[in-house]
Amino acid sequence: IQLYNSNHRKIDLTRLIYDTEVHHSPSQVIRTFLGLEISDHQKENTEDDFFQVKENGVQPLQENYDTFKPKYTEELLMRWENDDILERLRDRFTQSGLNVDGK
Amino acid sequence: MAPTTLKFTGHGHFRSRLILSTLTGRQVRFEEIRPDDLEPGLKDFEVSFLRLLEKLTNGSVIEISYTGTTVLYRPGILVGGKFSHECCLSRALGYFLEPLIFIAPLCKSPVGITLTGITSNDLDIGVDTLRTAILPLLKRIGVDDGLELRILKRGAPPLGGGEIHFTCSKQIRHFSTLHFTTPGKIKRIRGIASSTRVSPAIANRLVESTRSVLNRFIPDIYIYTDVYRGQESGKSPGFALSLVAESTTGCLYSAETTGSAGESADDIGIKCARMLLCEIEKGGCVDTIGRTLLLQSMVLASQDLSKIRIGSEPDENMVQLLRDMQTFFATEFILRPDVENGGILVSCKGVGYQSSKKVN
Repeated sequence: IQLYNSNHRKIDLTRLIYDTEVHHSPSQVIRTFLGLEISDHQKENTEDDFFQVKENGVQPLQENYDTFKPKYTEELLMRWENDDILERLRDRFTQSGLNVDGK
Repeated sequence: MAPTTLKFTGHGHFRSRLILSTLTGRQVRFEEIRPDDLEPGLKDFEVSFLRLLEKLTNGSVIEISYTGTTVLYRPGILVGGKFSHECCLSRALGYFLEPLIFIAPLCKSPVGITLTGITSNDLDIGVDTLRTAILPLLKRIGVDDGLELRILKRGAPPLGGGEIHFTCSKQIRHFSTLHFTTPGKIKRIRGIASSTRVSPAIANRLVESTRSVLNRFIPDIYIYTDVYRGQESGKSPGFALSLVAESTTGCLYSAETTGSAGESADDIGIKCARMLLCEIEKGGCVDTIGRTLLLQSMVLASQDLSKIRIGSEPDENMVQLLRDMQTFFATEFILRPDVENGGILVSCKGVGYQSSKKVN
């Protein structure tokens, strides 16, 4: 099954999500959608996915906090220190602010 | 013939599966709940949520095994009513309130619930965000009035002491079909900086630091300071910031952070502002928090095609939610990445769910 191409945009996301025989875990679905490399070892080891029980029936020990609150890494938040990245978001706003110093 | 029992392994997505079970009337069984933990079985907050669901319904049966690693839930009818519930302190009130907001309009009679506990923490959605970003979403699915969330007392972790009152006085027969595909541009940002048992200056510093990040984008920013004193300020010191950006088409993007005594209010404010920028950057018509509510309501809506635009990246929670909804309702969503306008178009034909509200 051709699930995604190089720009990972023309993939059949619906099939990706519901075809549980190909993609067992939600983590695998996301990784495939984002075009991240999946090694053979990762394919077999679903320990990082708390939704699925591994084939041997052992429940992964990772805690699932059952929350929809998004989590942001420090790296993701620190991106906003870069002025170029900030400028790229400007067109999402109706009008620009007062000045770049925030005053 | 009795409907078959749906079996789930583990404690993942416990709340949403219970809610879907209640709506469909299908019995569910959770097995192998933390079997290898030092304290196996259900946690206190999960039991508390089951008890809350039991109060909201009539005829529900909950059977928990001796070790707590297996739970059987046979759903009753959503009746609603007025009651109070003391939530445990390991989770914030948002954990309990978030699913309630979704099912309250579908109850047989008006709902009035008083919840006590922690009003905001790092793990769960805070009550301010629920009030300013989630409640307005219900207008889009047909619940246009009768919703109120009053914060009577604030309670920071670890000891809590907060109290809120949630009212849903308008019961609806079914959710409206949803068409929500135009994100628009951000026209204003509002926020609430709250503090309990710390210096009132903390709330002002939260506002200042947040504005230092957001002022460069838009001048229409207003962040309220909400300083609680005395009996209304709970039992522990803490502060929180909740931000909501609103677009020209009514889309809401939210972010929130919490801090405790000793943490820098400036850092918390800047962090929250950057989190809001992350949500805005993702695009779509709904943020990560509101997405769950809208996806669930799309399934329940009348038998017509609902369509929304979500941000560019789905996450694991959403994938599992879609799979669970397929299991319960036997209906699939169609997801189509939109290369030209960004985001992902999600469409679904509703099942035409009818609530138990009496027809006048």
